[in-house]
Amino acid sequence: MRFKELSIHNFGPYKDLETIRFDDCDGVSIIWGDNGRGKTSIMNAFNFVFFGEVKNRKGDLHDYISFINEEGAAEGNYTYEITLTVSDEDKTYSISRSLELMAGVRVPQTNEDVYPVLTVNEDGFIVESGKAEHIVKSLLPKEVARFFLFDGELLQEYEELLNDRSPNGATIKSSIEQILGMPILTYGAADARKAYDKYSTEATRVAQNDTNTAKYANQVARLKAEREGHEGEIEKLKKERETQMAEKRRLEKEMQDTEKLRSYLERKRTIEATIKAKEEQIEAEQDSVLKLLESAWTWMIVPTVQRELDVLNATVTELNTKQSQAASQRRIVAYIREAVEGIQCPVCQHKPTEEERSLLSEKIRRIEAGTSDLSSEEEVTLQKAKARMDVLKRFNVFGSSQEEIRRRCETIDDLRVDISDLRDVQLAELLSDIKAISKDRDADDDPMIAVDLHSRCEREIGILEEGIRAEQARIEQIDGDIVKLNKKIQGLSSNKDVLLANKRLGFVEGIQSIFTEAVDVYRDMLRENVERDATELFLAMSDEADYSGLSINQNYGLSIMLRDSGRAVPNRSAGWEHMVAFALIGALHKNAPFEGPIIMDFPFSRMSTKNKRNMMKAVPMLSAQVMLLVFPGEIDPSTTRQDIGRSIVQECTLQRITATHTHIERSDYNG
Amino acid sequence: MKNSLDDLKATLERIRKEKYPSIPDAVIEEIVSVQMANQDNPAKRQAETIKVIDRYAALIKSEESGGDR
Repeated sequence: MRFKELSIHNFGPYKDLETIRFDDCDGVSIIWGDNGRGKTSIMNAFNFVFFGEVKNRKGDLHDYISFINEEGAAEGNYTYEITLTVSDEDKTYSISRSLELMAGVRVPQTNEDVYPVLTVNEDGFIVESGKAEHIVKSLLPKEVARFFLFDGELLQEYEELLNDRSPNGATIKSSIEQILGMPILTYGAADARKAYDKYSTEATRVAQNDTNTAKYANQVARLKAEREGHEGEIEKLKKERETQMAEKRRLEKEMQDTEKLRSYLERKRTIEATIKAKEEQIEAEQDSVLKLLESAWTWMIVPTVQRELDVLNATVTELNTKQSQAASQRRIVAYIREAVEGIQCPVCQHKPTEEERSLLSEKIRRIEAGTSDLSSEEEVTLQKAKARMDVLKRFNVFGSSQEEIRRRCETIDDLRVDISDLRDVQLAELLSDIKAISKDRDADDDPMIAVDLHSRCEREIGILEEGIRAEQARIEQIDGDIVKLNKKIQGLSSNKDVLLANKRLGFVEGIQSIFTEAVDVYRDMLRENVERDATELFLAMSDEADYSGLSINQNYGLSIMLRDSGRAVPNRSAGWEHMVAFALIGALHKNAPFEGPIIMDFPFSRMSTKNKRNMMKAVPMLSAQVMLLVFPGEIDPSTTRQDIGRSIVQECTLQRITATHTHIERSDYNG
Repeated sequence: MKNSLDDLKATLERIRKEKYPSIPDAVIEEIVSVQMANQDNPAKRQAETIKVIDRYAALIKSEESGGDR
């Protein structure tokens, strides 16, 4: 199967008719899109067109109305359509699945108001609905979809292949064998067995009519009846085993949910404590601001106060200057007087003459005449001015508080934003998740009960499997006895009808044996091939010299082998798990009887830059057509183009028109 | 890139040739085709497989009538 064109209309963020065309040449299409632009919606478009399912983040598969484009709905368009054109062998199919409104519904409120409609066009002719479903199922059986529509977020499930008792592992193994074509042999053998039963019944009937062989034919008939009883018992045991396995899966989910619920509740407590601490911090900041604002009224008089302060300052400065000048002059006069009245100058120890004394006295007189100290009024004025300044300065402090108030208010705003993020986003999402997990649980559920029940389930399953094996062993014994009796009948009878019936029975038995024996031979061969091809891919991606390759188990689980010890790597990391799953998918595609394109969403989660680059080089080896849905930053565009440029056939970008409207823009890539 | 049932058919043919050479290869091929074409419809798959087997079994005649396959 090859893709030729995908078109999407009014689905997810794709309001308008958007088309992705695939060239006839093999290669990789890269679809670049930021988070929320519609990469997973493209994956869902494939799910919808092939299987009539759309998967939301909660895992619901039929929430159709949630995928109606918001803007389209606002304009009254409540339907959507996905069309995929493919070629398979020499035919071209156009598969369209649309969402339609139930009769009488104008605006759908629930998913019961809508229904999907499939139409298939084969080489230009519309086919009837039964054949349409058959064509779609043949192109991509749902059981193997996981290997074609690859969701990187589900990679860890492949690790369950390493666990022989895992129910999920058994499901994946079944899917793997389906893609490898095993059902052709297993069902071929089962259907040939049904034919054998029919011919065996006929041979027994005919032999019962021959007196030579009637006795043995009757024994065969009795053994067949006994066999039927054992087959019925096996069916019963298998049904019971299925019930137990379903219960085991439910309990495992419950235990996982309990663990998850515990961690959610812990996280809820942490967030609530953080909110409380921030609220207390806001209160403290508010108290501080209120305290500062107690003197806020003073800002009104600051200009007046400042003017008054300026005037007082000038007065004080003037009076202080006068006072200090007077003091300075008095000190000079004292020195001169000491020289006049004393024996010598106190500074230079010179003994002044009479004439000099006379001059100095005159100087003293002149200085004293020009010096005036503060008058008593001026003294009072100076004291009063200083006192008044002290008082007025207290009113001026508010100016310096403004900055602090502003800073604290900003802190309060930031804290409020933090609280809003925590409460309205993180806590709200968490409560929604808690509600989803808790809705089916009893408040009194004891997690240990689930653990006990799980152990009991496992024991039951073991007992049932033992029972099935015992019944199968008995059936094999009966079959052996029947074969012996039939041989005896053939030897004893000369009746042509008996001989013919046995001849035909032998013929059908031969067909059944061919298919039955082929199951084990082919399965072993497939496992060898898958191991070889997965190892080749894995080593092409890995640069860990200590890893020698991969080793496969009965469930197609792959272990990484250490070169030196020959043992499997224990507890491998999520990144290596990813790489092994990649290798497995590539190997399965290489060995599958039918091929098809691979679409990968979020293919490189948890990979280091170096490993991503290595994996990228292996992408063209996975299938003839590969489509990658990646966000910028998930892989490096320039190194990608450098490494696999020759294999890239197109790049498209999911362009934002609005938050709910995306356009797909293609850029042709010429390597 | 592998795109056929070659390995699967080769396995069946090898077993047929070595151990059940009297079984014609054509019946095995037809059963494989029926199985491939009806994977999504178990009832039809089984019915068609039995029809194929019936058709070839009917060609087996008794030695008295001389119409052995």
